[in-house]
Amino acid sequence: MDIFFDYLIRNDVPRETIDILLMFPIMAGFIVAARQIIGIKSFGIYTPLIITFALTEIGFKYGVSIFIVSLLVASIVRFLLRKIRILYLPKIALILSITALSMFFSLVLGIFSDSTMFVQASIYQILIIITLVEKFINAQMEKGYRTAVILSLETLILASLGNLIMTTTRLRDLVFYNPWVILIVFAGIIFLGRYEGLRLSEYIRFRKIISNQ
Amino acid sequence: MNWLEVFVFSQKILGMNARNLSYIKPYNYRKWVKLVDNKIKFKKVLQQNNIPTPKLLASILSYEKLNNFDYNKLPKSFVLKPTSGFGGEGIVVIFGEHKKRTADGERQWVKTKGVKLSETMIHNHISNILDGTYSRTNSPDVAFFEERIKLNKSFKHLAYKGIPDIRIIVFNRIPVMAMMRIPTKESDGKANLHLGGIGVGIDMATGVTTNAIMREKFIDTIPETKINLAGIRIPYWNTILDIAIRTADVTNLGFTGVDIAIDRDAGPVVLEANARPGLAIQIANLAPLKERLQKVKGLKVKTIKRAIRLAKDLFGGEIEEEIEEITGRQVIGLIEEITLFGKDNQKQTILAKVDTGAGKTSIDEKLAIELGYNDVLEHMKKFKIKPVLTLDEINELSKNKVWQKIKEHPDIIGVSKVKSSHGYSYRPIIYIKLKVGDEIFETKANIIARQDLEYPMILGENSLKKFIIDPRK
Repeated sequence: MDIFFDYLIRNDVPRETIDILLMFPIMAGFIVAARQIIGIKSFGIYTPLIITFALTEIGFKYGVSIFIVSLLVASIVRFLLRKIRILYLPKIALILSITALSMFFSLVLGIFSDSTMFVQASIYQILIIITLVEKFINAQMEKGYRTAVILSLETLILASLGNLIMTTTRLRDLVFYNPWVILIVFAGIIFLGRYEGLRLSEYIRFRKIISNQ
Repeated sequence: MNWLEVFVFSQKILGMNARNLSYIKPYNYRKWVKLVDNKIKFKKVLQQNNIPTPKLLASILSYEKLNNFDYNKLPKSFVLKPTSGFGGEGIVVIFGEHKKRTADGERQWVKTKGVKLSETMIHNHISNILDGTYSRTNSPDVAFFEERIKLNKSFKHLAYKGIPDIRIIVFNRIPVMAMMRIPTKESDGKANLHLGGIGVGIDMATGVTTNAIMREKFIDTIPETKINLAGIRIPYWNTILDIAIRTADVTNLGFTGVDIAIDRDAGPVVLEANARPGLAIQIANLAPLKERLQKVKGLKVKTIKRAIRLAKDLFGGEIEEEIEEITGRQVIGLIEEITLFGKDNQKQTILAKVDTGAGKTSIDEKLAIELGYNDVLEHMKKFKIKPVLTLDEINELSKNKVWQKIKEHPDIIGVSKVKSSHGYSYRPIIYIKLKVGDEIFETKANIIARQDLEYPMILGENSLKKFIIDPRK
């Protein structure tokens, strides 16, 4: 494996790229464990994963700020649009666009606070976080505001913890030098896929049944 | 309880993981899940199998159909639903038509909270449905109108707008757990728990409610009206169990949640079947579901009767049966679901009021006609007796021996003088065959005009000798 990675690096593939690809199964396993064992729902697996990577790229502080700002802007825009009868897709288009435009405001704030990391951050990372808005609005329509906020918070928690894992250099090195550990992760994911027990959150949800016993 | 006991007990509770992995995956095949998710198709399957369900008024499959839709076809009240909707989203319940048309001459209807909806507004809502706003995958959907269910009288005080319904989990043909779902102000007239509806646990044997939850917290009464939620007797309980099993049969799903509402006129009707029933039903019943599912797993249940028996025996309270064993008499409630046998032995199931204060059993004229005693009433008309009489007039009738002439009709076995708050009335008595609980017997019954009363029959003292009455039942 070392030879293969050396070859990639010699040919200008950034170490970051190799790391992210190698860490991907670990992050996926982490999100699966969070769902099956703890009961953190979030928005599926793709959204928390991609947001974790975006967060790591932009930097935790600014990533979280963008996350919160875009949800706030989207909520306000949706609130303002509630009286106007328009179809679903155009409505999402408006909300997403206005949220994207609000990033100009955030950039100006970033310039004033001299945060070069944010100002120079790749716009794609920012856009990735903004696309969360669609999931958020969708959840709002289907399951109500409360659930949407809870799901977003769960996504934020997962992405924050994921960011913590992603930025652990030791773990990165471990996978880089021993890529076979990914097989252990796969075994873990298969085990979780067959796990039938109650989730931790369900112990809380069903506590009355348990205490009634 | 230490942590080990908690862990051991928790194995009896059905969690998301076990539900999806051990019950939905192996018992609910994709093909059949698709069938119940498509409400129009499933409605047709129900109708083909003679399972009562609200009538389909119209379906709108495309924009073209929507643009050509004739709103004059719509009745005064109806329900508009997305075909692939879930969790009650996108459903609009129309309670009546507004007297005035809009300035543009459109018809207007009234939904919950008195909100008015014009043809244009309904048009917009349908186009949202067609766009897939409310479908599970946001893919294009179909909208349909169905008959609105009318609130059953015994639930009238319970529901804010909407209709309470009964969710029954059926596994391997056996009903394993049940819950009544009551719409609240918060849930905007919808019965779904996650929208803020109330869930009330039901004893499987008796159909009597136990505990109630709202937003997964225990409550004793309905927040707005302070009406007690425990001890409510669900009418038509046996019929409901029967319908739930028959519905589960036609879904081909091994593990399903059947939603049944009780219509004022039609009795229990199936609203829909669910291939992924929620887990909150366990909280409302304070009972773990996985344990029950494991109990009936692999049982071979041939008949519906046996399935009902098993459900009641395995998952119901035991007190009543003990009483029945000791006294040899059956326990019945104040409102009892009974079966009447008409003149040609045709069966009719109704709710009767049990009244130990009434000396004699009586049935409503309309019901008597339905049972085939039309000619008895025709015969009575010949004597031109006023519906309400004074004591003198009654004595006059007795003196003239009118009863002898009345008794000439073969079905009439006597005449009774009934005293009410208005005065006296002179009513024919007939023999009527009925089934209460498991007992089939004949009893004497007055025919009276009871159309303004809640129940078409009163079981009086003369019919109750074989029973013990439990007012909580």
